[in-house]
Amino acid sequence: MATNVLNIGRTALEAAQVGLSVTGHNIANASTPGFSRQEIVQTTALSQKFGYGFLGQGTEVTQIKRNYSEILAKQYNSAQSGSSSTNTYANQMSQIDNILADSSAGLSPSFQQFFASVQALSSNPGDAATRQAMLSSAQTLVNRFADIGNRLNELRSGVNLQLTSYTTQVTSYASQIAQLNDTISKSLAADPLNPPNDMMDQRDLIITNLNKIVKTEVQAQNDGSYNVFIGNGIPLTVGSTAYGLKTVNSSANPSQLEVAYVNNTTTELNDKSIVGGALGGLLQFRNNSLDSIQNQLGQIATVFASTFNAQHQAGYDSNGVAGTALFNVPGPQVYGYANNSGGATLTATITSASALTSSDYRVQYDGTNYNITRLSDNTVQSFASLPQTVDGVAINGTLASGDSFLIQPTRNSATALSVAITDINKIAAADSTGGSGNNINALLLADLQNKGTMNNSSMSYEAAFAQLVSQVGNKTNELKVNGRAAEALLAQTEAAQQSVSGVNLDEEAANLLRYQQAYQAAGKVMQIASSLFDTLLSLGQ
Amino acid sequence: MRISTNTLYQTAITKISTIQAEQSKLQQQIASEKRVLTPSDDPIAASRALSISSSQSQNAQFAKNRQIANTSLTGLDVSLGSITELLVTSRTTLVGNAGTLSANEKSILSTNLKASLQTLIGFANTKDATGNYMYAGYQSDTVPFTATATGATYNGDSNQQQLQVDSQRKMVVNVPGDSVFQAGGNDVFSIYSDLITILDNPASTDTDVTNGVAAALANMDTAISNVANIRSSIGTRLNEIDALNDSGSSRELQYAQALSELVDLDYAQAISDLSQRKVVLEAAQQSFIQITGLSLFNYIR
Repeated sequence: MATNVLNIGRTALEAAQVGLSVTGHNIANASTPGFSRQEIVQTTALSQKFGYGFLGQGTEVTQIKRNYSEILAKQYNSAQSGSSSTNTYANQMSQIDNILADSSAGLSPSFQQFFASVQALSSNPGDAATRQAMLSSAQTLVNRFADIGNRLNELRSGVNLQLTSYTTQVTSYASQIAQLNDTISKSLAADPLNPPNDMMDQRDLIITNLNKIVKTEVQAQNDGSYNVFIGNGIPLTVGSTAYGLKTVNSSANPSQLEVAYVNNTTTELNDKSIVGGALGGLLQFRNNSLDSIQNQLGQIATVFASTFNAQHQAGYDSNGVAGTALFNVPGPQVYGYANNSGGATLTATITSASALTSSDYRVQYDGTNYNITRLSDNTVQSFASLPQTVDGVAINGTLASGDSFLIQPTRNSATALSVAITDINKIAAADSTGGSGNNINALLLADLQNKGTMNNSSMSYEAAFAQLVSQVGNKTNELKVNGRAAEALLAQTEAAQQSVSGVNLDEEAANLLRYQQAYQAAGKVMQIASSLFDTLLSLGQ
Repeated sequence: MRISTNTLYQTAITKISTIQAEQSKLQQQIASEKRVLTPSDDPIAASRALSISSSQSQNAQFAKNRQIANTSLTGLDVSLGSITELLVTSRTTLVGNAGTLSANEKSILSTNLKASLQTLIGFANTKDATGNYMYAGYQSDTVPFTATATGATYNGDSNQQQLQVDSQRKMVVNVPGDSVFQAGGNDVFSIYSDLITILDNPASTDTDVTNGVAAALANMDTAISNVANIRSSIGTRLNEIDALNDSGSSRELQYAQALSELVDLDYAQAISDLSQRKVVLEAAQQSFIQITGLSLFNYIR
């Protein structure tokens, strides 16, 4: 009988000890990312039947379980991916917002200064200093275009860099998950009742981190491993097999990187299949905002330079010679797709600046027709032969069937624009009548400031720029608002997830006291059992 | 709901950093005196501010152009005033010599007219403040009149130089020399040289001289009234410039006001917001310290 009591005391002591250890573990990991609070599952030991009834045999700890809710974790991860995507997009847009915010260094003051110098030219067309001032302010304006263009280019190469580092990270996570899958499933196979909690926490943390980079779906398998799918269901980890992502040069546009999927081969992924997370945000930024902003800025540069040149060429310079181009207008950029069959080339030239749009174009030859797609709205025009002119761009070439080309009419214009003349006598302020006081053409050049030159004569240069600024402002504002909403949702789902899995130190303090007292009580039970035994022993003396 | 200790800290930190971000924004607004710091702060205001500042800068440029026009036209007015004075003096002299003249009187008159002709050619070749010839049309770097035996020849052209003095108004700011000195075939220089030729010619009869003086007088009257017409049209333009200056200044005020309303900061509001954030931040910090100070571990001895 005394041995039974001693035994019961021992089980209680053991259980209290495990309880203390688990509580200590919880306290130790209170701020460990991804840690789920653990608790012991304590049950009564199997009782023994005696003549007088069932006699308890003490207690036992059957399991140490982690407090983890799959559904709450899923909600939290999904909020994580949404918030990360929106905020990445918002951060990139904010940079453009800041570039355009600088009212003293923006494009508008340079435009105003330039046209003021043209007005000054009209008031004193024969004066060398006035002519020099006009050339200088033309250079200043060109520099402003280039500066803004270069900063947008920096953002573009920044996107390339980030794509590379994120895809490397995803690949590394994939193999970590595969390893954990392996270890966890082996451990569960050996002892299905006692899951390796800390390793499972680690794996769930990786899933959360993965969601920060790209939207990630998890399918838990019966053996305890996770099958992980990213974006629109691209398998990243299946059991203990990991795949990965990397960046490759875009097949359509060698100047930019695209995300590719790596299993046995490397496949360039469509941007639409990468959603959520920082990767999704970056690609959305590039496709929906950066491309169009850079094109619009280039469109203003191209239209400004072409229309100004046209009027300048209509005038006559100090020597009575017909005016030449004041600006070098950059032409469209044309890229052949990497998988084009032959050595066919395509040329594109701007024939009507005012008809230009801010879109890029794809020319594809299917063997019968040349299909020219305006990429901003996917409008397709089909022609049996080239040359053809679409939206002010003349396109010519002979392609092999299946060939595709990308045309960017204005992408590079802001950075490539330059002033073509250095001799002040070549400024064409006069008309054919001549005379150093002749300012007829200078007046007409000055008139261009408010003329509807852009987008089929509907808008002035400055109005087009103001529209661009308002577009950037609106988009940034929208993203900031969405970003705050996404963060609020993230905080909410995190709190909900933490309400189950997080450690509350007060609770652990209470448990410490509880298990401490249980331990002391168990000790007392054993002490009594021991004194009972002593009583028996003393009987023989 | 069960609250994890992490959540407790996280919530407090998030709240505090949100308030600090708001404070920093207010601080930037106060330092820059602007309510709209980036286009995203108020996209519509930012884009309207761009178009208003463009109008503002053009308005300022038109004001400069008007100043230049004003200088040119005033210069012309002064110069034409001197020319009128010279012509009127010559006319008075001619009136005083209307009868039969002695050889000595003819000689004195001839000398007088020669001097006046020189002065007149000098006036016709006046340069403006920027060094351009006033009466040369577009040929502003060419001496417009060169003296000849029969008066002077015109080397300029008949073109009128215009300046953009307002958004919808181009104004003529020069007077080509031929319209002043050779209007309608009445060459002012020839009036002088023709009479001088008659006076200097010993073969001229008294009738020749009397007729010559009479013809000169008639032509002189035509020339004086032509110059007066030109001056009156210049006066009209100067008045118009005054009127345009008035409307330009009132537009300037209107633009400045509109810009200020769009993007400038309401200081009182900003300062009050800033001190309100300060109170909230202090409250958040204090409550954070109090809540995190409450721990069961404090009581375990």
